Amino acid sequence: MNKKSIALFMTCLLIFSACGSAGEQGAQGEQGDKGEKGDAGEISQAAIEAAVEAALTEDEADVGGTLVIYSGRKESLVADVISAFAAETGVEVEVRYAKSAELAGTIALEGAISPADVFLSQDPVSLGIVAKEGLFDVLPEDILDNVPAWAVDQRGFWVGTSGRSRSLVVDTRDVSDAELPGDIYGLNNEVFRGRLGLAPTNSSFIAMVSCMIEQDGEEKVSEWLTAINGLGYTEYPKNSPQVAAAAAGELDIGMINHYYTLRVLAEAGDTPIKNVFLDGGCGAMVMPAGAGVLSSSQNKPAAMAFIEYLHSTSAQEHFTNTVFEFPLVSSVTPNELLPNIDTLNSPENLNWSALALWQEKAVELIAKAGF
Amino acid sequence: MNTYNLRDVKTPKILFFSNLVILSIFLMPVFYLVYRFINFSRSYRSFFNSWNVLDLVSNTSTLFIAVVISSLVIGLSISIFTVRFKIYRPKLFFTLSVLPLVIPSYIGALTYVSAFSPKGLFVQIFSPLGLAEITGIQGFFGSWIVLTLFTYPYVLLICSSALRNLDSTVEDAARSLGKNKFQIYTQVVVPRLKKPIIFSGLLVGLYVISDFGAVSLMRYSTLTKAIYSYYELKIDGDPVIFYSSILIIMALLISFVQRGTSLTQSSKVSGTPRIPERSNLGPKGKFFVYLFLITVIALGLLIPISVLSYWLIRGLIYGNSVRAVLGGVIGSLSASLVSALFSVIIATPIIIMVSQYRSRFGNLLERVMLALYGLPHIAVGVSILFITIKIFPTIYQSFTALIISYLIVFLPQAIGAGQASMEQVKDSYLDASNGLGNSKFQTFYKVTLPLIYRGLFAGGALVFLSTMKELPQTLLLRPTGLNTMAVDIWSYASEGLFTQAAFSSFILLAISAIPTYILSTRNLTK
Repeated sequence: MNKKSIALFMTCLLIFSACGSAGEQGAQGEQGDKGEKGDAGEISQAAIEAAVEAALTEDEADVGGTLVIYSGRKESLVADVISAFAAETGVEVEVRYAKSAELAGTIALEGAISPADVFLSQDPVSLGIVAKEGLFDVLPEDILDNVPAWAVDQRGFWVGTSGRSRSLVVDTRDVSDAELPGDIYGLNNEVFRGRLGLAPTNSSFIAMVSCMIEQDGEEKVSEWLTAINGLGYTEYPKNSPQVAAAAAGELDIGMINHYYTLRVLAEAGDTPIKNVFLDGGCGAMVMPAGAGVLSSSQNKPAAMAFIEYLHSTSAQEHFTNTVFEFPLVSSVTPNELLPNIDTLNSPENLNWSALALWQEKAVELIAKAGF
Repeated sequence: MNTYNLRDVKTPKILFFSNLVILSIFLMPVFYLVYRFINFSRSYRSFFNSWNVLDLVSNTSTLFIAVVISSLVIGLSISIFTVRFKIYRPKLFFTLSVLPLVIPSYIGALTYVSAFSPKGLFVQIFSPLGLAEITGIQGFFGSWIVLTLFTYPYVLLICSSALRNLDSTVEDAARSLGKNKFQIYTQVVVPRLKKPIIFSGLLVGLYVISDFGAVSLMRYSTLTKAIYSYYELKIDGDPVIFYSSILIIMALLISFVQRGTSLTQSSKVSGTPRIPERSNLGPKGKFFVYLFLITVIALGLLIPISVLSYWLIRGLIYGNSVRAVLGGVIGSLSASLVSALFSVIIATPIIIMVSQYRSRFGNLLERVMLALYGLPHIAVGVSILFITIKIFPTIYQSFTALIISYLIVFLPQAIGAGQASMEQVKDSYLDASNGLGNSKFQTFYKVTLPLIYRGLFAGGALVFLSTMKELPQTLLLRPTGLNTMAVDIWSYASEGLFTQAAFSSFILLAISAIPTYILSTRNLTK
């Protein structure tokens, strides 16, 4: 062995040791103070209960460390609430923003190694996927009791934080009320050829399709999706660009959640767009956005404190007055731009965990229809 | 080439093993996909029944063919116009035509999407003239235009360089046989450029099938877009693996064919080539040539830059905060620096192995590295993501995993640049150094390194620039909290927030445009 090769070997060693230490730093950076407490699997049930107990009984000043939130809700909708929580409690918060379905899949894949403490989702179906995998802790009764029963997972794995309704955004210059259908299946009509918009990878759209499969059967939904594709549609990556396109006069009808329209109208009341709430069926579904605590979390006190914070008056007021969602805590008054939630004709007694079972089928039908 | 040291020199074991480790790390993403591909629980046929595989493959192939053809037509025409004809300031026209190369396809796409939406910028500007609505540039048409505009410069650089070195005696003979100018080009010149044409055409093709940003913003369903869509819907879904595998097979096929057309042996004539005089153009010909050049430059350079400037100024007027883009700038710079640094460190032993120790392993290493160049980033990203979750959870979502993923696709650039400079290291220098009693390490340090460090630096710079513009791997693998300019641009643009997207785009272009231009021009014109 000669000197040159030794030198090269050293170089390579250096590379790999550098890689290794960078990796450790990365991991420490992500897990922060939790890192020392060991793997999730090693924490006993008693320790978890103690931690939950601590979170519930002690002052918020006692929570600390780092909290990793996987947020399926957009940064522009929740960043203010999260930073207010961080400021009030001193918890260092790291947020990974992506689509709800993507994050649910990520958590399912990560399993016990998930760096996430809290999963904040824009729809109940994505929450249901994580619940189905058994990766959520059951939330304490008093957190579940903060909100109405329809906005809570039946087994207590996650809790709603705000409500939203599916709706159509319509360009009032080009669409008359008379031509609008009563339910979502009515959109399969020649008069809507080339006039529809949708976001096929949006988690709420998938939730709606899951609901349709649950209520109406696979075949009917598959036919509807194929028909809508056949009519010609404009594909959007998200809901908000559909509202922007309708406001710009480029899109006649978009399938969205109600609040983006209200955000635009609140800024410019004379924008010629409006929300149309369908009369019944999954196109009129009212669903909760919600959150749950991961079983693998190594900072459960902070995670519980965060979920409680989402039910606080200030967070709920943010959701209704800035995001234009339905508040779920009864003491908070809904924003005046919102319709009365009792007037919306959503399918009753939807079982969110049953819908989650249809998510994969929904994705497959959407893809099969050619979206 | 480097045929010295073919004597009795055996590869030092340490060099062999360190490169073996590098090789296996680099092959892991492909092996993992192969492993998943042969272990599907469902039948392959079921993919064709329940997923739109055939549509996606045919969309991807259609785009491939369309962009390759249009890029070749534009690139070849401009090569001929600026090399062979008497026009006003041919070098200026040449430079302006090459410049669209510095614009990443997703930035190009965002300018076209935002300017030419049905009631977008273009309609707003011309509304006083009664323009109310246009069809809008998107889908296949939009992807085709945008990808052509930002890839034809590769053809232009490679073909113009070949054209400059093309001996004209055959053309003279053709002329004496009574062929007219058009016939000479179509029947003599272009056929003699066959190799550079195929080579650059396939380079463009590789770029097209791997492109993610432009087709996503244009909403055209290709394999890359489908991989990301399904990933967003169901991260570990079979289609994600299936499509990634198909994409990699397509890319490997293209790069296999491409390497079959080695540029080095193309149309070389012994002795100094006879360079023909620039020929004169008639008034009609002149009009056509100028019109063509100006149209292409307007579409590829003026429109994107003006649209970006418009959004930038509008954003500044409306008070967009600079702070919002700062995180992305810092993230991009740090990721790119680290990636460039490691690419040089890892490339050096590989270059030495391949150049100085001819062995079967060296050949294998070289071939694998060449094949890895052009692997679609999104497929590599998907594979690394699963590998880190399932096999190496300690580096999951870490900076390390992201950098490894960058290195896998970008290292060939560093190796290529370093290898070119290795040609200056003559056998006799090494022998002389050896004769003076220097050890191999001393020889490396005193002789080899001073000769190749410029090449290594150039390679590092290329990797730096490529990393900075990289989009799909960054989207899939970035650690929580790390943003890059590319990610910012893409997510703003996909939400229609063009003023914010323009901000980051401008900074990205300001940092990368000039070095990208210099390095690409240097690398593609030998």
